[in-house]
Amino acid sequence: MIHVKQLVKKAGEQRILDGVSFSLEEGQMVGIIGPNGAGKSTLLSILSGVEPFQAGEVRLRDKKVDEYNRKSLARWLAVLRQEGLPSTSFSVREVVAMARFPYQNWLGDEEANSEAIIDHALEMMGLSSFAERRMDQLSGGERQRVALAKVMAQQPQLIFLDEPTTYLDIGFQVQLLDSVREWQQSNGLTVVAVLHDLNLAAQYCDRLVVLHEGKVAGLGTPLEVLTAENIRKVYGTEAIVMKHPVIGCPQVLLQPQRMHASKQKMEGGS
Amino acid sequence: MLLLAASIVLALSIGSAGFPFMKVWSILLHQLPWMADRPVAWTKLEEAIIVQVRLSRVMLAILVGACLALAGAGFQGVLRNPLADPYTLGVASGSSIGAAFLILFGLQTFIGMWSIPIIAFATGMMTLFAVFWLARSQGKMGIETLILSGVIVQAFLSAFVSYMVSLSQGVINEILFWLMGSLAKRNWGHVSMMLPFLLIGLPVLSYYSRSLNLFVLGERHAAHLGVRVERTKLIVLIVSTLLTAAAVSVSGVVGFVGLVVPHLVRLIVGPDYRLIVPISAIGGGIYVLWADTLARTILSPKEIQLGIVTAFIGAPFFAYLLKRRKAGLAKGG
Repeated sequence: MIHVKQLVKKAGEQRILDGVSFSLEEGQMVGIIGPNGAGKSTLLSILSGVEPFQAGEVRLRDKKVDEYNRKSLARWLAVLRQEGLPSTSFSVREVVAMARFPYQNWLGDEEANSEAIIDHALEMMGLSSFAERRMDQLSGGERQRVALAKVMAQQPQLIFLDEPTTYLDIGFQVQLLDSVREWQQSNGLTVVAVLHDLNLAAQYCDRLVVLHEGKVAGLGTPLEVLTAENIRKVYGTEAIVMKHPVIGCPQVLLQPQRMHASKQKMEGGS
Repeated sequence: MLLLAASIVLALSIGSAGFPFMKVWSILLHQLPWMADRPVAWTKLEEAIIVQVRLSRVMLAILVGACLALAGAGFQGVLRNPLADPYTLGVASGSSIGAAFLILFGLQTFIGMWSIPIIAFATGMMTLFAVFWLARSQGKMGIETLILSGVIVQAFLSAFVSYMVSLSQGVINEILFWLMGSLAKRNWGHVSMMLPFLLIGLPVLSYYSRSLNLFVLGERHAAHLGVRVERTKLIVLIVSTLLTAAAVSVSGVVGFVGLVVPHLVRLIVGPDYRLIVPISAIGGGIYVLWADTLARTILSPKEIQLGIVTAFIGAPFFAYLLKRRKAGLAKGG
């Protein structure tokens, strides 16, 4: 599905991505994790073809990403961006309907029954009663749900999520990722998500790609990748990795470095 | 559309030589080929005033208004900047410099009537890119920064045009009058010069109106939905500048039309550019028609410049938009 070979992206003299290579299979949910500035969002932008790069190769379905026509690419690749949708005076329904743009001819007509597709997307995200509301009357969490409904109405096979949960509280985070996971599994979609939260990444992803200083520092199942040693190496912090009591995936417990040290000292002194 | 037709007839009947409403109607209907055998109840002079003088001027006002409003809608859509219009971006002044140059040195006769709009378009495009260059920092253009750059460039260009005017003799009065925006002393030739620009501009912008809707969400969002962002931007900017150049060639700098009209339209029909584009064209026509009617009647028989009227309405409107935007930002929206 996705093949990246020796990808290099520079901003000025600085190498944001420095020889990134990996391959991802179809039908999986893949998380990209790593510290701030590791190049996660940049990588996702390059994969979706909206950001130029200096060297290397990115192939989606065995075709170079920059050789795709944007409209035909948009028929099977959708992107949910971190900053969400702006608060405009468009209604929820109008925004979700914009997802049908790649399917429309020059007159704005399309062959499929777009109304039914839009209705279904609204219903999936529990937005049916919001359909006529204006975007600027919604909260941030509601707008993010509209953004996901829009991605659904685009009927993609490949979905990129760029830190979709950043501005959401924990309830919405779980709700959003649950919907994505359910949709991904029932339709055999491929999802690549940049995630900040290691625990969410471990819970929802089949595989994880770890980026560190512009390079791939690890690729595998959450169990293989999320070890205390890796976290120390990549994030420079001590953490305890435990098994999730219900679903069994690894979970990361952070510990405050300074308090930890002083506590040890106190214990040593007594 | 109905409002436009009513405005035409009403504006035709208002003027220093007053005509009753019905007479204007019958003279107009008489011009239609299948109505020509109806009885004539007016003098040749009256018919000439209505058809040659007033009707051409009314048509021109509508065309200028439609072009400027379309250009404004295009600039606002593609730059996602609610304060953008041909005037605030400096494009109108940029176009006027090319046109003024030709008029002053009497060069327009060489290449015919198209020379002015073509040169005006070239200098308008150059101005637009100069303004972008000034406003851009780290690949981004702030909304206020862009307008500030536009104002600076506009101030410089106006000074330059004034300097050219001082250099020349003879045509000064006419040029000054033209520069401040006026539709006096125009004829059907000007109408036929402007019409093609509108006939190109309106369909092109209508075609891109769905893309402009997606631009509202942001350029990246639009790209992910399959819009060829750079291409769309370039074409819409070129067409908007072309429309501006056509309007400036005929009427000089008529400010704020492209700002006021799309906003009023947006208030009425909502944010959908598929409606905003065509209705702005009609609305712009009505708006400038009334502004011009005011311009030629308010101090009758003296005439004030059309640009003065539109600035009287447009500048406070601009201030209002700016203030509202600030209030919106303070609320965090």
